[in-house]
Amino acid sequence: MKLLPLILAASLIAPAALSTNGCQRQKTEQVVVTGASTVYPIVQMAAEELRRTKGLNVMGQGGGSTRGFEDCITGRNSLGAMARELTPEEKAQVMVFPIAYDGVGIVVHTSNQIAGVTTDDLRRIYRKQVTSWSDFGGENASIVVVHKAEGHALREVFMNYTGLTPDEMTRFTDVTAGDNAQVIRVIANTSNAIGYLSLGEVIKAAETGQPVRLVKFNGIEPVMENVTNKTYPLFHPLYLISKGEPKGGSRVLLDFLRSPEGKAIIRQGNYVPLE
Amino acid sequence: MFRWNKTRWCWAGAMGLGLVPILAIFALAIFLFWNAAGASAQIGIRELAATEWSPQQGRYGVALLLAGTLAVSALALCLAVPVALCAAGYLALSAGGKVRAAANAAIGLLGGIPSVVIGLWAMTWVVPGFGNSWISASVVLALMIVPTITLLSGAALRLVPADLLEASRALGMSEGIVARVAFHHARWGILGAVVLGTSRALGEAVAVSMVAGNVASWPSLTRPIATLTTTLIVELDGAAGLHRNALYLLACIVLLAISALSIFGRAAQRKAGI
Repeated sequence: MKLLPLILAASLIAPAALSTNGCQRQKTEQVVVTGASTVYPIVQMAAEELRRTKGLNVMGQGGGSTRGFEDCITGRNSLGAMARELTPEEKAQVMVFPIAYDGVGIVVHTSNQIAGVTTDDLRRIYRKQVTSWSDFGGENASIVVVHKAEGHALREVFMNYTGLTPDEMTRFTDVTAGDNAQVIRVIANTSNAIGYLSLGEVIKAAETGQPVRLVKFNGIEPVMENVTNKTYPLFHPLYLISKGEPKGGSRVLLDFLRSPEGKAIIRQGNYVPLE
Repeated sequence: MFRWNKTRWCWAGAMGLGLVPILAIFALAIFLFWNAAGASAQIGIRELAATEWSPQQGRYGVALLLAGTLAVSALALCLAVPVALCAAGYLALSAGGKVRAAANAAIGLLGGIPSVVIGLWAMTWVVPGFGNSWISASVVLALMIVPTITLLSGAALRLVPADLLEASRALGMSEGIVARVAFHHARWGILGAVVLGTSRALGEAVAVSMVAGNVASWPSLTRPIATLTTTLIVELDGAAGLHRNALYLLACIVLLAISALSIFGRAAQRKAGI
């Protein structure tokens, strides 16, 4: 019983102590990057490197491109991460720094025999004008169409590229996946599924033994080399955005991502750095 | 004269800590209602009652999501209640002590399995058979609420006085009739169990989102379906602005429904004396 008041006192003081601690850390420069989860791996890898070499504290958080923008406007982050083009209104409010681009792969289950698809095939599949894999030389099984959920950058990239209407995007869906990992999970467990995802994510998943594979798109092999020389047609830019001229740690992070070491890290994550 | 002695300090501290959960639930409710109220004012009640949920196009009709939630929960109940009541009846009325203890432990364990684990299992075992569909979602949900209903209605059945059952048997009634007597006596407790199971079904999100397909459409057994909670879980990550607030509104609806059901379920259980 003697201990109880002590514990109570500690429980009251501890949160206060922790929060002041947090404030102090803010003062000693913490770079907070929030937004597109596609950009997150790059930020994460750069953070490790910068902590080691410069003692800089970089913290990355997901939440989607639009959150990256809104946090930037309201000052809740140091840099916002975006995986889609900014709208003209958005562009007028922030400074935009392209850091890399990312190929978008068309993913199927490894048991699926099809060689590849074209943009037109994708349109017909995602409009349910073609519903069986036999039309593409595969098995006679109905195609399970996987989309990313509304608000995700890849969904918009896919929609703009194929020219599907928002209505078609919602009407002809079999599965809506929340995050990238869920797209992989669904396709790995559904042998007739098709989806779209960052090339790097699929390569990583296939390396770890998930039964997913990329297919040729418009006749182009889905490999990093083809994304780099821009023969692979479906890709999207990755941006970091800043409300004003980036200073201090934000500047260091941006400069690092454009340095040769930074570019090597971006390549390592299966993204293509800007030359 | 009032003096702050050690005992009083301890009690004051304990009371303070006891208030924490209550304050937390109020903070949560206020946060959700605040955001949801903003969203509903901006969207408008008529638009909310519509069937089209398509945030990209500024459409926030929750009717289909609500229908999906009700459909998935209703079918899950149809699957779970017979199984759970039979199991509870057997365990409470006829099983031996060892069997009952072992079965209750196993059922409790099933109830404690994290929903993401059940979801992963269902993706490899249920989805290949039924597809990402209403029926898959309900099967998964049924699996998750069977333990709740079995254990709670089992508790209600064990409260039936033994002399009532013995008297029935002494009158030469068959075991079927004895079971009816027991179930009749325990009906309020069983109703409470089913209602509390339903409230768990309404709130479940992770496992269901892994097998439901999460597409807002009119419920059809083999077609994908979206519920309030699955929409929340797949869209929250990428949502901002009004879209995010609209998702808080969905959370608010779920919270209200679950609170109402919990109050009703507890009331039924209290009437049964549990």
